[in-house]
Amino acid sequence: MDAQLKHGLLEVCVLTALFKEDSYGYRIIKDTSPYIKISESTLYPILRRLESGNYLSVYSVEHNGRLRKYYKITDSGKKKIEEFLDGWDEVMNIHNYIVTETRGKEE
Amino acid sequence: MNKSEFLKLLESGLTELPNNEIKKSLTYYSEMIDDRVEDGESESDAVATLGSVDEIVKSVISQTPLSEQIGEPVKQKNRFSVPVIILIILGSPIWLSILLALFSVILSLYATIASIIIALYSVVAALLLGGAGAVLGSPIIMYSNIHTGIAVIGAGFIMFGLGIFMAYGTVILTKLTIRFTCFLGHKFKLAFAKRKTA
Repeated sequence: MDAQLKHGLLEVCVLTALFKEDSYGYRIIKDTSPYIKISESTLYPILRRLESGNYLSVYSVEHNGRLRKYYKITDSGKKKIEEFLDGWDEVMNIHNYIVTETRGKEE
Repeated sequence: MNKSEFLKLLESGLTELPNNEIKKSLTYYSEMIDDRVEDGESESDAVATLGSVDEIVKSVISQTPLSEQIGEPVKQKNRFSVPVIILIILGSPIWLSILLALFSVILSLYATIASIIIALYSVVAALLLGGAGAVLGSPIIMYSNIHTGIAVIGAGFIMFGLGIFMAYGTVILTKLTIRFTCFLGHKFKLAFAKRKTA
């Protein structure tokens, strides 16, 4: 996938992984891995960005004698997913245009 | 590489960031390794999947907003501890003079190169002017003595030719010197910048 396109999708994918329940770094990577590949070093700045943009909040939970950071989606995080879905109609329109212009003519 | 080795390397790579930023990324990566180990991976495998420390350092630094990079005075203290500063001050008569000597050596080297180039240009100018003068002036000599006139015209052509030949070499030499100076300046700048960010 195009790197720039992927960049935009990553944030929404991370938020989506938090939609149903709070999650932690490693599980976010695992949950999203069937759809998009996020490495640890890519996830870190995304989480930081989403946190500073107030799209998610962070809290620590003790687990096996150590602290694990859990991420919780905020209302504005949920709104961001909605906006993404709304914007996607536009992307589909563009996709349609590209397909009909480039592949439609050959037939 | 095991977890503590990895974290130590990461920490030493991130020293230019504020302390809390370093701590945040260290906890993040340490948690990632712990979770992978808990999931059944060996510690060294878990570290290996994270990729090279250099890459991680680069991405953490480049992705940290500038406002947070300079949010807190960087750990400058660690670079020059008090005894080191005292040593630097006490040693100043030595290193300052060495530095000055180095600087004057470079300066004199450049003065030499510059004067050689200036000398070469004046030789070129002399050859070209002299050659042209000889060629143009030879008809007058030919009036009085045809043999001398022909000899002078030949000498003039040789001088002019030599002048053109040398002009090429001198121009190339000048360009090389300029390029070398730029290269040297660039290296200096790099070394200085590195020391500043290190």
